Amino acid sequence: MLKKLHLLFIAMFLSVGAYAQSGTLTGTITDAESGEALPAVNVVLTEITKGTATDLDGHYEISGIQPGTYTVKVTYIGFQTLTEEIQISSGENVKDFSLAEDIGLLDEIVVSGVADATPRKLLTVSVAKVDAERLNQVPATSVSSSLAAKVSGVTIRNTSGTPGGESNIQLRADNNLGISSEPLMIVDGVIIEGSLSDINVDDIQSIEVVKGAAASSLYGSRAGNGVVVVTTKRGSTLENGAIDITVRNEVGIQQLENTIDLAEHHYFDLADDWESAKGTYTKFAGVDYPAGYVGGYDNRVDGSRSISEDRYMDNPFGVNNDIQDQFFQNGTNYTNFVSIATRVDQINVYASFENNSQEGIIPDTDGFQRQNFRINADYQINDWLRVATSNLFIDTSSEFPGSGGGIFFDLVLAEPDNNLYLENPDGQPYYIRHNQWSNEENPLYNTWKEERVESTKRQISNFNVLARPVDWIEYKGAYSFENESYNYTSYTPFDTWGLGSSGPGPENDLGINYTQGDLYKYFENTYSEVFEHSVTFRKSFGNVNWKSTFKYQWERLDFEYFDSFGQDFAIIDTPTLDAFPSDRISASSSVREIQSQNFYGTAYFNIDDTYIVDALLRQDESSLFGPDSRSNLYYRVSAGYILTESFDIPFVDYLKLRVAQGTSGNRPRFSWQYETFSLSNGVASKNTLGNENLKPSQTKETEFGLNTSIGNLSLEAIYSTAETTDQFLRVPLLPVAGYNGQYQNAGTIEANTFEFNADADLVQTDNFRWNLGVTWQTSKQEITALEVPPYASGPSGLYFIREGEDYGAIYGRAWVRSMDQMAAQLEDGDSIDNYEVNSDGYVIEKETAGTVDESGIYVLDENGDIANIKIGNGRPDWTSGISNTVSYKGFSAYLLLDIKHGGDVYNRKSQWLTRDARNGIMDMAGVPDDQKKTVDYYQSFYDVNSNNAYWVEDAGYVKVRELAFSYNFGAQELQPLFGNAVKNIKVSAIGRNLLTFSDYSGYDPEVGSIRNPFDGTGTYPNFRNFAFSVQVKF
Amino acid sequence: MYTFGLALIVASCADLSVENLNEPNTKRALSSKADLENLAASLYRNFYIDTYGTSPISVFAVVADNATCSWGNYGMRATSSEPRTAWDNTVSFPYEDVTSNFFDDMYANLSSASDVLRAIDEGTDFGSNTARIEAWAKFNQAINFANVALTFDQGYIITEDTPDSELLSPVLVPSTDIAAKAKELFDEAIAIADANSFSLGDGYINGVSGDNVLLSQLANTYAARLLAYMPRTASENNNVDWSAVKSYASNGITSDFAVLMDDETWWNNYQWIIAYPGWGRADMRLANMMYPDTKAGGYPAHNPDGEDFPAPEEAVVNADPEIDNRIITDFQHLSSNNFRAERGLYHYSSFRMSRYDEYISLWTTEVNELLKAENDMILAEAELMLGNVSAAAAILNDPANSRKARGGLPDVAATETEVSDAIHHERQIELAKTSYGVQYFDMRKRDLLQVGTFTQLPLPAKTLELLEAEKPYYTFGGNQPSSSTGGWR
Repeated sequence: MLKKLHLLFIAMFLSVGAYAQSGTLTGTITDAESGEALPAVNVVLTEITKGTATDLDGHYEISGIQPGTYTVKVTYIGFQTLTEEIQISSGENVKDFSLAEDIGLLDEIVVSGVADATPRKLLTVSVAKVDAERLNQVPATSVSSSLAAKVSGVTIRNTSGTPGGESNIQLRADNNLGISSEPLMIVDGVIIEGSLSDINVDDIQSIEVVKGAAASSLYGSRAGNGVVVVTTKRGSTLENGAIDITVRNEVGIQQLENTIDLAEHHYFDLADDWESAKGTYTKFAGVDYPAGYVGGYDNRVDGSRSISEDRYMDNPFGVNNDIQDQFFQNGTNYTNFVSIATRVDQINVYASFENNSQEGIIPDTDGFQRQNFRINADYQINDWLRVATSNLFIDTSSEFPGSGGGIFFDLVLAEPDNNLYLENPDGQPYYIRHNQWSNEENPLYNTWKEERVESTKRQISNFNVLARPVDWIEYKGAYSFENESYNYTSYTPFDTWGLGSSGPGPENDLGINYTQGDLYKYFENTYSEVFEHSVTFRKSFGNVNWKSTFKYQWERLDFEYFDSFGQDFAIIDTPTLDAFPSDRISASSSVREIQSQNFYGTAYFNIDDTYIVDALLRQDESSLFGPDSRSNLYYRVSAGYILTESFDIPFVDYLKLRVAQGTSGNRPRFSWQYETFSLSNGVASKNTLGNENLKPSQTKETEFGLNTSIGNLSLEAIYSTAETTDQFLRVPLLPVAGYNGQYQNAGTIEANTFEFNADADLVQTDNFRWNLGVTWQTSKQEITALEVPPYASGPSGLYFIREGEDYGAIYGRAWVRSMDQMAAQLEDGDSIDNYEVNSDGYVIEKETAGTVDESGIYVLDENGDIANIKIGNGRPDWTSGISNTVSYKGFSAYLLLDIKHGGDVYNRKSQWLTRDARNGIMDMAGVPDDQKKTVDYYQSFYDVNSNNAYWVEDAGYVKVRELAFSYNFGAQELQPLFGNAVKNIKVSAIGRNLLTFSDYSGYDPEVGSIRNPFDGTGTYPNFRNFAFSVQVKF
Repeated sequence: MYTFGLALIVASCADLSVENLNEPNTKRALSSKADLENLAASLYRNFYIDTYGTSPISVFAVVADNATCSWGNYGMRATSSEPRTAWDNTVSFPYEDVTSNFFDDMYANLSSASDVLRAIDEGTDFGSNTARIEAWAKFNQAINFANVALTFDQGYIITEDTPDSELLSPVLVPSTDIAAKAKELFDEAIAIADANSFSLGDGYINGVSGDNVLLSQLANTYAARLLAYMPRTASENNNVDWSAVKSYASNGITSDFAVLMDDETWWNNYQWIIAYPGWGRADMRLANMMYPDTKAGGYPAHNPDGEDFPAPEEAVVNADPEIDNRIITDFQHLSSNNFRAERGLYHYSSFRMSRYDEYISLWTTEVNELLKAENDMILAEAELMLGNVSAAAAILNDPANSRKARGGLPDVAATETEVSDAIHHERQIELAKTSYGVQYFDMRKRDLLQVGTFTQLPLPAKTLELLEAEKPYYTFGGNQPSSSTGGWR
């Protein structure tokens, strides 16, 4: 500013006569490809550091220039920078420029985590971007699963195969104890409260992943876990008057990849004439069967099975059914998609419709159906005013298998001689007590008889106004809302069979009766809205570009649900709540309201495209914080230095070093601050004490990054260290005041992440192209402070939370594996000579191998009690994604590998199977006699279902996540057939989750959540998908 | 632009203090008369659900060898395996919630009852209902304390009179002190109920429209139970104040007391676990008591090889007065076992308890909480211990009472041993599946529990963890203290 004044002064003195001699430089700047005018382009005369920006017509004017030779530098986001020498003479000089788009990796525009659109080369924080081209190689069924293995620092885990189910997403490390670590999701400016699995992928223009607290400071107290921002297509990049129509159809098969290895032999004495019943049932010794017995529970069966003397599971069953094979079936999935994009003068519109159906692999279960309808439109009203809207309407419905997870357990517990296809006493199929000797219920009956369905209707909309009264101030006002209605019904008909007594008496009491059914109806509605006003300033001072944004945001969420449960139908076959006597109906409801207001200001300086500095300050206020902690501050500072602008480094086109530090947070849940009684059916009781001082947790992150590009290779390496304080812990209380716990801010977690990603065009010729992308990351997270006694969390309390321990550590009992270990814990009077290591690698008492006394020995602690120690860790050592795309002319092949190295899963399912002698490892058939092990040996590891080391399995894997072979018919090939009507046809054979290479013994090593990788009894297994897709562009 | 400006003005008035409308705010609830009345009404219901839910009740049934079950639920398998071991008092024991939930629940109930009484002390005027609410709240305090005293070796005495400073660092006292406090509260409740006339409020006890007379009787029976069942050993049994017991039992219930289940707010988990087809069974010991194997077709008390026994023949049972008829009426014979063999064949049994099958199929029936027979037996035992053997025998031999009316058994001779055994018999057979721990309490004070069985339970590991007690946490049973040294086997 001062410099300009100075120059002006000099110019005034020197130019009394010379004034008439000064020149003006003026002209129009357009897009080289489309010819459209480009606004906000910077034009600078570098020698005198005098410049301006173009207006909405692409017109610029610089006046008061002394005649001479100058270098003009023209820069614009997303376009190549032009530098030209120009001769200025007095009077008007006209120079037009035509800029070419430069969409290399470094110039891709990032809009999230930063106040204003910024090209990647000028970014100081970590934001990854996946564009439409990448997403469409194998279009994922929803946004939820689309990012797997594509972005470094992003972990996606399919916690279950339920069609329409959401994937578990985690950015970098898990920073939270008492609340979820899922990132904040934003679609077209709307913060999404509902499920991401409802949003289709074909509409997406790009997904940006804002990793780390430093980047997400912009989003404040909701963004401690990072942010995922989805932007959909708008048609704004089309040529004027162009219409683009895309039709895509896909059909495929879903199939279970692996079954669990189950025992096919047992350890009971067979009757001498057991073969006479072979093919129908297993005839056990000491049991009298009624005439005409065909299997299943029959109370006329007299006697109990007796265990064979050797106690080896090597006796055959009378029938050997593969129950898993009988149960799981192949499902079909299909997608029908059509979109229209057009641009006419000042209006561009994008509209699309998609129908998606996924059946899943469970019999008598329809799976998931979804319809999406989108309409986006932009209208440039005049030079300085634009309005835009994005809208998505979603309609989904889902049917769940039977009554839930129990069926998967009943399935594997069934013995091979069980016949699932017998009839119930009243003729209903799938006799419910298929096993004389246990209480499991027939899973086929359950999926056939019970109905559980849900449906959602959702609207996600955004309206915004963009005004630019002068070229350096921009106002944006936006209103977004999301409205979701969800309902769920669970119906068990009157005549559903269940275990129960028909009362004392009748000879044929099978221990089953009609449950008389029940009906549960749940309805909820969520309405969330956000109002935003922001003002952005952009100005250039010489070679310094300055941008500042001030934004005010007001949020509100209203949630309500009510449900009602009726039991014991008075009238059959009428699934309505009126069919119950009024004393058999209960109901409950709940409302929740959240209001927040936030304000932030940012400043961004780009000095000569070489040095970049960025600062942010934000204040969040929310009704979720206790009344004494209503408002909280967040900040970020970051800087970048692009070395290659200062130095010439051989071979290296671009090298940037960056550092950022920032804070963001996570909010407590609605009810935690209130001191209340729990209320149910009119009965009040005390449970959790409220805490009026609750404040949000805070994550502070420092991040160092390096970005470089060398020829066709671009690399990024990032190291981030984050500390999250004021965790939410439910602190146990002595029940003397009636309450047994309270949520408090306590506990600290530290997490360090190292990420690396590389993208290279290994070969790029006219016809042949090979692109390789690699992501690699490793994370470590530790509980560095815990103000409460250590406690067990997660399923079965497996994940132990203790100060100084890794977050993710699995604790339990352990077994002695080495003689040295045994020697260290011998009791007085005992000798190491009494022990030996068995063939499985466990220390046992000498000479008990193969006998009933062979059993594992607990590791003891210093007091001589069974030790409770670390037996595994759910966190992987590292994970990686490798994608390969090879294309030759129109043909292309694409492969995406998802690799997890290390990371344990606790296989509870396998442990339960041992209880019922169903686990395949117990099957001794075919094992040489001198190596057989008894049932009791395996059951010693079952250990009454305790958490113990035997069931911790390394669940590392290499998965073929996506595979596609496609052929693109280009315009030339299609010309003879369709003329100009069809622009492109793409035919692909697609595979999703095709193959898994792993040592894990369950259905899939990808099981449980990222925080608690636990294989329980009730998980719907993941499945693979083969599909065929045809896309036509008009 | 105008609308946005307007929105700006409107929106900046963000109201950040949002009410939680889903649950009654404590301050509000404790100052509102209507809410307090509702709180009082919830007291017995909470007590009932907690006692028959996740509590030691199933453990007590199986370690008393009254029921048998080798499924792991509620710690049944861990505690009833043979030979008996100590109670696993660690936080990582999968069934530690059997004691910790129960302990926390009892104190939550005590706290609510105290809230009601405190409100009365501080002047909340319940008008004509004051006597009822006061008696009712004291009664509920007493029964919760009683449960704690009967179960654990120590606990806290927290009432509306406990000063806040003590709430911050409460003092542990032995169970005998807690029992004394409970007795005191029973007396106060009885005094109020006897001196006033009122009917019990809506929902106080589901399906029961009682009055002060019933409340007084209940308080008397519960008090009698408490005193009679406190002893951990036979020698402690001799030191019970039997005249107080006799006094309470004489003023106790005069007919069976049952609670109506509605399967929504009133349900009984214990009934299900102990007798559902495929789940718990009746221990062979009961079969032996009803139809001993000294007779043809009878059953052994101990079934080490997991044998299956044939059903009793009704004709034979009816013909022989010494065979208890209830083996036909109250128990169902099962011809095969589905317990897992490797968990111990000795768990096998050929009988399940079927007397209350209506509940476990309909779920909305009445469930017996205190049978008149229980009160009868306490009274008989008091007479016996006071030296009035013939009075005790008279109760047993009364044709209206369970031994004769339901069991069809012969008169019992007025000798100490026979009367004592007959009382024991009724408690095990007639009272099966009713009232908290009755079979266990009976076995422990006769020194009949199997060797190594704990005779009481320690403070839950979770509580000891909060108190920062030293590890390993103390426990009972096995070769720890409070472990049965005698036993029927």
